[in-house]
Order: sequence, then structure tokens, then C-alpha cells
Amino acid sequence: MRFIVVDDHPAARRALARLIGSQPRWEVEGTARNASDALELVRESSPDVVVVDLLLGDESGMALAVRILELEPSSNVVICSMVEPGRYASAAAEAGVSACIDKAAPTARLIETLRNACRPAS
Amino acid sequence: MKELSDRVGGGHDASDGVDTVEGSSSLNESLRATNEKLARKVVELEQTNRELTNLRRDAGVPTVVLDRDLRVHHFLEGVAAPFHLRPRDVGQPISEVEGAVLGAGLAEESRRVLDTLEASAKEVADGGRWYQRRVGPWRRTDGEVGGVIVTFNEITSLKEAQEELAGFNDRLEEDAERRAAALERRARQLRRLASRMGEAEQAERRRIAMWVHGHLQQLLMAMKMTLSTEVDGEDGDTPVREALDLLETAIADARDLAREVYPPDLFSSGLVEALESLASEVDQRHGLRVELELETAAQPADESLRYLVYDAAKELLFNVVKHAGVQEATLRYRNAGEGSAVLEILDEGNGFEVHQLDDGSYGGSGMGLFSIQERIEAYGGSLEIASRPRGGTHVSLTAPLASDPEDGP
Repeated sequence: MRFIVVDDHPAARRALARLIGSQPRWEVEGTARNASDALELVRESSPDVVVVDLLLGDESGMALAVRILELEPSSNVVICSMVEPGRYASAAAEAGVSACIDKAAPTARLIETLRNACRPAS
Repeated sequence: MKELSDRVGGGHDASDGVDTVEGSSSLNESLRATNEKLARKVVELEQTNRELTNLRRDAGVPTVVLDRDLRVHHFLEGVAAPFHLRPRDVGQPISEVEGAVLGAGLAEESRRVLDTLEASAKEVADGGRWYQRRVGPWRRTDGEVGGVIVTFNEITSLKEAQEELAGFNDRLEEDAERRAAALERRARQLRRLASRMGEAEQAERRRIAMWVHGHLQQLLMAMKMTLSTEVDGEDGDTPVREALDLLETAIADARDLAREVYPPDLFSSGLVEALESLASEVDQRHGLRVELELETAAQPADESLRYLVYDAAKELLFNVVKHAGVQEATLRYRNAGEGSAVLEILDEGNGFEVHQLDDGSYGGSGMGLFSIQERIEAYGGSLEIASRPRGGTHVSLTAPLASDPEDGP
């Protein structure tokens, strides 16, 4: 599966990319730190999964998710944030987001949630 | 009297015949005695009259007597009279001779006294001197009212003392006003200071929460993810696993800290959610069960306003914990229409006299309420407190849903 990681915090972005890249048959196509870079990457590489932080500086990860799904309806968007999913999960589901992950959760659960949420794009 | 004396004397000279002479002689004796007695009385009366006149003059009370037609009947200038009448003014209408103090409505006042037969008095000024001018009925020797008697008592020193007193009083009042104004300024400064402290606290809390949430937690999380790629599939208590456990704890603690410092719900439009979290926190930490009646439609658009309502709810609930002596309270938050929302905190606890908030005798919580009141008023809202000893407390905060930039702090 091919991933794109969008996170405004450089350490978080690198760590998340490394964690995903360390999984068998998972590949990180690229990372972005803001919405416009992310949309450009999505256009270029049509990834299976886009992992998006909820708060991208002043930009909203939720709004980015909606635009990605408009651009690539077959891709999966997963929101991964320090904000507890309970606070925004229903709004995210309504927007077509595949899953919401608590960044602070144990790594194994984080990977598990990513795996379950994503079906490969056809 | 003189006439009588002459006639009596004449009678004596004209008498003749013995019987007549004897009778006349006895009558004459008696008349002479009476005449002498009367003459003595006249002398005594004249002396008394002179003494009285001198007394009036020496007493220094300037006096003017007017007849019923308001013509000068006679006058006595006394010492330092506030008028100058000449002997030829006697018989002149007062309206033609009156000067400064004799004027000022003396004719009119005299007519009134003649009508009512009641004396009247007023203060009149002549140059730098003041007099009390008294007008009373003047009775002639036969008891009939023959006109009015006008007397002048100088009251300049009394007047000066009064003016000095009034000036002193004015200065005292001015001083009191200045002090009151200074106190009011101080109170305003204090309220502004409280308001700024509240705003500064919000800004600082927000900054800390943002830093913990947006940076510290991200770093901890990145460390955890990076380390966890090293232990995949490994079993047992390795140092890396132990470090990962510590990181999990650090991340959870940092999240709790950030939430306590500044509820993350307030960043977005989650005031109602923040109030729910607050209620459960107050219950867990202080054992106060908070019944919630929340309307989600009443979300202030401005984050500062959301924080202010949240901060007020927190302060008011802690006041219930500290002072009310109850285990339950009610928190209501609803849209009040006309672009405003109302937050109410109610308890049935100890209560207090509301004036205690102003004089500072109600614990230490006055300052917090003070700050909230000032801040909400700066947004055009208001804070109302109703309470009485053993009668519970009802605090109501009205906040605008959108902040008007002109009203904002």
C-alpha cells in the first residue's frame, strides 16, 4: 500500500513516515507539511492512503480531507491527531474519512487501526 | 397743664365774700396741690422720655418710623446708620427718600405689615455691610397702629462668619468630591487591572497549552514511534520497551496538563463540550455533582468569549465548592436570543450578603468575580449575583454570541 503523510510538525511527520515505512508491503510515497503541498502530492502519486493531522498550523486537516476525497474519491483518508478522536470522529465519518487515530495510542494499535481502515485503491 | 394752672390761679384772684372765700380757699389749696403733683409728673415724664430717646440713640439701633401713608414720621440714626435722612425729610414719602437699605421693597413690605400687623425681617446689604432690616407695626400712645417702625441691626460679622463657614463647607465638599473621584478612579484602575490580568492569563494558558499540545506531545509521540520500530516483534522487558512505557505515561500526563490549562474544545467551537468536561472534573476532584442543562446552539463565535464563559463557569463552580457547603449545583447554558447567551450557576447552599463582595469580606473569591464582571462588561455583557445567607446563590452571566470589535477590549 502506498501512503502520503501530512503533518505540520517535522518530528512527528518523520516518525510517522518511518513507522509506516517499517511495515511489510507499506510504502510512503511522500510527506507534506501543509494542505497545498499535500494536494500536489496526491495529484502526482494517487496514493492508497493519506494520513492527515487534524491541526495543520492554521489549516484544518478536516477541510483537507474533504478536498482530497473530491480529488481522489478512491483513496482513503485517515486522520491521525493528538486530539482525542471522540471529539471529532462523527464529523469526520460524515466527511468520508476512513478512520480517526489517536496519535498518543500505543504504536501497535495505531498500525492495527491503519491496517483495518484501509482497503487498497483499485 | 400750664393752661389749667393759670386758670386755677386766676380763680383764686377773683374770689370774694367770707363763705365763698373759705370755700374757694380750700378748693384752691387742693387744686394747687394737684397742679404741683402734675407738674412734677410732667418733669418726670420728660426726663424718662429723654432717657428713653438717649437710650435708643446710645444703643445704636438706627430706626425709621413711617406713618400709615408711608411718610417719614421720625427717625433715629443711631451709630453707623445705613441711611442718611435729614430733618426736612420728615413728612416726605419714603419712596422719595429711600436709599440702598431703605429701598429694596421697603414700601411694599411696610404695606404688608400694615395689612397683617405681623413683623417681618430680611437681610439687606449696603456697601460691604449687612443689616437685618426688621419692619413691625408702630403703635402710638393711644394703642392705635400709626404706621411701621423699621430697625436695622448690623449683622456684617455674622454674615462674614457665615460666608467663611460656607466657603469652608464648599472646600470640604470639593475635597470630599476629589477624594471620591480619586477612589472611583482607583476602583476603575483596579477593575481594568483585573480584566487585563484575566486576559493575560488566558493568553498565557493558551500559549502553554498550544506548546504542550502542538510541540511537546508531538516530540514525545515521535520518539515513541521511532523507538517502537526498533522493538517490533521483540519480547521481554528490554530497556527500549521500558523507555516506550515511560513515553506513554509522559504523553498521557502532557495531554492532561494541556487539557487542564486550556480546554482544547475552546480552540474550535466546543464550549458546551468544555463545560461538560469541567462538570465531570469538578465532580471527580471536589465531589460536587453538577446538573447540566446545555444548549449546543449557544456557541460564541469568538474564542476569547468562549474562554471567558468557560472561565466564569469554572470560577463560579469553585466558589460553590469553597463557600456553599453543598454537594450539588446546577449549570445552565442557553441561547437567550438577541445575539446573547446566558450562563447560570445555581446552588441551594450557604449564600451570603451580596454587598460582602464589594467590601471584600466574602472570602478571597471577590477578585475572580471582579475580573469576570469587568471582562464581560468590556464585551457588552453583564454579571448578576443574587444571594442571601442560607438562601442559596444564583449567578447569571450574559454574554454576546459575537464580539463587536468596538465593544471588545
